[in-house]
Amino acid sequence: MFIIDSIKTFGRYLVLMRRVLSRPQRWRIFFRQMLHEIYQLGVDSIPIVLLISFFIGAVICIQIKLNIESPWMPKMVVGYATREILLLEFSSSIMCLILSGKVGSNITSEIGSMRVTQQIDALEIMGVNSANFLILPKISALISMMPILVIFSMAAGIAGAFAIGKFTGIMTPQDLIVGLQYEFNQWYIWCSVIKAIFFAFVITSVASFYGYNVKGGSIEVGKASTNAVVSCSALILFSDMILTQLLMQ
Amino acid sequence: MIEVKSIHKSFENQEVLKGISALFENGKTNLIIGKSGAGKTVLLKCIVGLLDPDSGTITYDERSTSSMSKKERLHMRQEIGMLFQNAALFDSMSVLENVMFPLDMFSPMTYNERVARARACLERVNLIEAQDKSPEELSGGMQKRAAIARAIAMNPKYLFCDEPNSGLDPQTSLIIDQLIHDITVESGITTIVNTHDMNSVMNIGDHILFLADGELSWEGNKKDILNTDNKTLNDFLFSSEILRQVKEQSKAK
Repeated sequence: MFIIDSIKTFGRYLVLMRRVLSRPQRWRIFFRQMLHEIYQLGVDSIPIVLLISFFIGAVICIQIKLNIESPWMPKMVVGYATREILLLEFSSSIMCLILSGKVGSNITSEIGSMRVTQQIDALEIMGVNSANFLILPKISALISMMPILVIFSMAAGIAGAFAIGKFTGIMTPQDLIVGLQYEFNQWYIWCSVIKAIFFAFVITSVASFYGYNVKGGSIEVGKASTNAVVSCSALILFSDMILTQLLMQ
Repeated sequence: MIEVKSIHKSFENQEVLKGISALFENGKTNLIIGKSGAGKTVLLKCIVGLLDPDSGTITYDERSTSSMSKKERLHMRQEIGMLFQNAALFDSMSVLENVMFPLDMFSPMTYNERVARARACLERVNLIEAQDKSPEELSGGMQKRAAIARAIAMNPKYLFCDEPNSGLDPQTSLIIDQLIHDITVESGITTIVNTHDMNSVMNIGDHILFLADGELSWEGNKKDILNTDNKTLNDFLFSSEILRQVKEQSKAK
């Protein structure tokens, strides 16, 4: 039963995406909506991304320093490991998990509220492709903002690690800098950006799907928001495994 | 003119509409009345295309919706204006932007022309002073008037109203009813109103359909309705003791 329900849900998701990924009826209105969403979903997320990344960068640095410190281990390993964790996983996958909570629930509740107050019906009656009108600007906006968020997250994480080294004295900034620069592979940044773009699509499309299919009232909107965040998180982790395997081979 | 023939609609195993046929003429305010759960909203949703009937045909001025292509259906929807039960104004937009929205999407007008048209619609419903307000700043009656302005912005041929008076006081209800009726007569459009407000029935009911348990139980106008022998309709109309006494007094006179 669970498998059949999941297949049905996936089918409904594909049908919705077919409507979403069509040509906008008015490009001028599409770009206006997209700019609005860039601000709401992307720019508004910058503070939380910077804050969390800064502290996680600092914590990773402390943990590595405390747990692998050994006379046999070069001091620069702390900076090296911190950089690799931030670039490879934190700034793409974990940051997107955090964003799925903030952005995903925001999208589901917004579209879900429009559904229960008949605003989506009003769009359909006018002859507007409501799925395309409401969802495509959100997907485009988060996809276009995600590389910027990833870069900001990497920078803030490294700044956090550097700050903890400088202000607590657990290691010298020079050792950290050597580690941060050691065997740097540019492809890791591209991997992170590619993964995050994929996750941006997952967050916006899945959250929109849950919001668009709400039936009932405000309690159902709340339930849909929770379900959307859970589904987005699971899908991000699952697709992270596949993408990492594909991109890092 | 809209014609529906033998409309059937079921949800799971429950048959909500059982072969309804009716003709809705131009320039008349057509009312669909009935108890809650009688199938009024489902019938209206089938007519406007929000739901597909299981069987039966719906014809807009001799254009059958079932034989229309997707493109033709989309185009035809631009000839439709709809007033929803809770107004359904877009809360991210101001009142003026709400009224301009269908024009922005589908009209070839310039920006200034669109603004002028939207203001004219707001003036028609006496709401021009609220053009810069957001929908949540408006009272229920004002929201309904703004929704009427949005519905008529594209000069529709067909106007649908789902419970336009729900949640409104009797005086405001009268204003909304009169506005819908005046617009219908002025523009010669086909208007269908779902209601269970008896004031609306007596004020603007040019053509009335009474639905009971998914079937068309009675059809007539506001003059006929008080003298009907239809027991189900009488039970619905005179459900309150006061109204029953008024009817008996008028009969005695």
